[in-house]
Amino acid sequence: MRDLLSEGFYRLFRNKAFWCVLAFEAAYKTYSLLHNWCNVQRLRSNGTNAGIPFDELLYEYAGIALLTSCILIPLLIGGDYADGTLRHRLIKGYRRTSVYLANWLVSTGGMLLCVAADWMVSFTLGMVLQEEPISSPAHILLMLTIGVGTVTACCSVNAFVVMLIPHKTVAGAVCFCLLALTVLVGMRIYDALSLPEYWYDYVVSTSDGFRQYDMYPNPHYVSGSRRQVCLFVYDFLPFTQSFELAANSLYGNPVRMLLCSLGITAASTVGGMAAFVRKDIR
Amino acid sequence: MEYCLETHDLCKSYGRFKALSGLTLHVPKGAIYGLVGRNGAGKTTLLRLICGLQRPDSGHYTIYGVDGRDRNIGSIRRRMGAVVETPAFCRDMTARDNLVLQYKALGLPSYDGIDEILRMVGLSDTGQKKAKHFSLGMKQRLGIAVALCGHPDFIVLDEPVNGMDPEGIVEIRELILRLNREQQITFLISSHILEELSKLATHYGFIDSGVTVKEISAREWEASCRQCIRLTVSDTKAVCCALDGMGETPGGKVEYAVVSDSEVDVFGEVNITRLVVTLQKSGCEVLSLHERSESLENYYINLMGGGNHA
Repeated sequence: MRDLLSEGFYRLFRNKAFWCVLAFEAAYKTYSLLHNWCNVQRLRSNGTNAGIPFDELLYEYAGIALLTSCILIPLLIGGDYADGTLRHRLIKGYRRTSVYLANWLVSTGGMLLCVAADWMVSFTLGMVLQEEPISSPAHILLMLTIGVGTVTACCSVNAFVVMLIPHKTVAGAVCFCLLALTVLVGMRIYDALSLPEYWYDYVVSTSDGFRQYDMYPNPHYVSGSRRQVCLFVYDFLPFTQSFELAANSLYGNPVRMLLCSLGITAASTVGGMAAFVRKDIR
Repeated sequence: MEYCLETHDLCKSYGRFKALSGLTLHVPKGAIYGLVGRNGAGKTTLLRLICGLQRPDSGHYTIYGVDGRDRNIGSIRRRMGAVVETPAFCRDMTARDNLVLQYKALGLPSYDGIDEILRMVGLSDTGQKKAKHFSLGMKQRLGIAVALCGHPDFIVLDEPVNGMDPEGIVEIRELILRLNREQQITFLISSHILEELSKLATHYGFIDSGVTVKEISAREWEASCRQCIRLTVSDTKAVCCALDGMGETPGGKVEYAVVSDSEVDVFGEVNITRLVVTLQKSGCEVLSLHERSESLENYYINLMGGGNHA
């Protein structure tokens, strides 16, 4: 296993796609920080007391990482298949579970390094250009941990897909489709959960500022066990997790989000290994 | 005889297509075993199975006496090298980096042997050229170089000279022969170029429709298809007398076989002028005379019943 990891990381660090994705992550964060800093400067020049706290843009990496993992992982593992190097490891007698785990670890490690590049920019340039963070260090750490869990879960699913579909273009397309599906489902659930419990019939403003309104129950409001299921799915999906992270406001339960990521990672990895052990390699 | 690889009734199907239907083979230790069969005969499927890329539906195989289903087969496979279908290497790396990668995968602590392997396969002067820019022949050589990493003593090659220029073919042939002779590496080679295979192989396995048609050593094959001169004559008895008479000469006894009432095969070298003159004196007319040499290709075609080509 150690040899496989040594070989895998050697290959990763010589892979152009990896460096491109890493550079993209860093460049995107740099652009994002500079763009927001320019906006703040413009507002300040207009006399507005504007400012962006450090932790406002800190977590937007997760969404980008989900997207880029759909490109990088098919290129890494699919390239491994196409070059025949994966096949060669099996010929050399490595167990299939070891080969799967090594590929998963290398590709996930590669993606997390790209995330680390984002953090590097945030913790250097971001510190200079942004204001003090609003949230506590513990909260920042929790959010970063959830983000790592989200990215790892997505990488595991992508690794599962690519290890079972040797053609990198097809595998990449399937990864994108899965991500698009979670985006669709996530958005529908978000819309459903965002519906108000009551509709406001009308609002009356009185001279003393008191507002009166009549309200009636929203028939589309999702309640009871359906709401619990929606909340669970919302916490479960990597995309919605990244959505919450980017918004810097946790809608769901952070522990449950972490457990969901862990569950997705474990299920996809164990399932992937079981399927890969039985797979005919051509 | 000790066998490096034995397969017993191997069966493998892809959907409804039966690629192997009870294939049994014996690859002796130290042999260069030529696997011959037409397209779809099951050669590559067999190589995939013994390389652990696929599992047989039924039957089993042993490598160095260890069953393919055994837990220890992994350590036995470390002694194997293979180029199955396409050579395995990273296209974006140089030849040397590819071997470093392979050494890392094998957990070899020193890269000392890399230059020697590159020299052996004729890739020592490729420098920083990336493998994706290599010619087809260079790619094949790099595939073989990768297979040679870790000092294997059993190498499986699928069409090793495919796409190579004549010079490259000779180099690879000499490399295989040298490795076999000097390092006692056993080779299992699947090839369509039967003429080339006949210059290498010490044993042959002919397969068709997923079953072994025949296994034969090169010596047995050579004995069964020696070169001869076929004489078509008016009187075979006269030929026999003449040839027996020629056997009294210092050259030794002339071997011959009467094929039919008018045909005689003469093996070995014989003075044709003297033979014809002798026959003319004894009143025997030589109607035709031609050299027969059975190539591996002819042998294969005859074995398969004609019509099918490797």
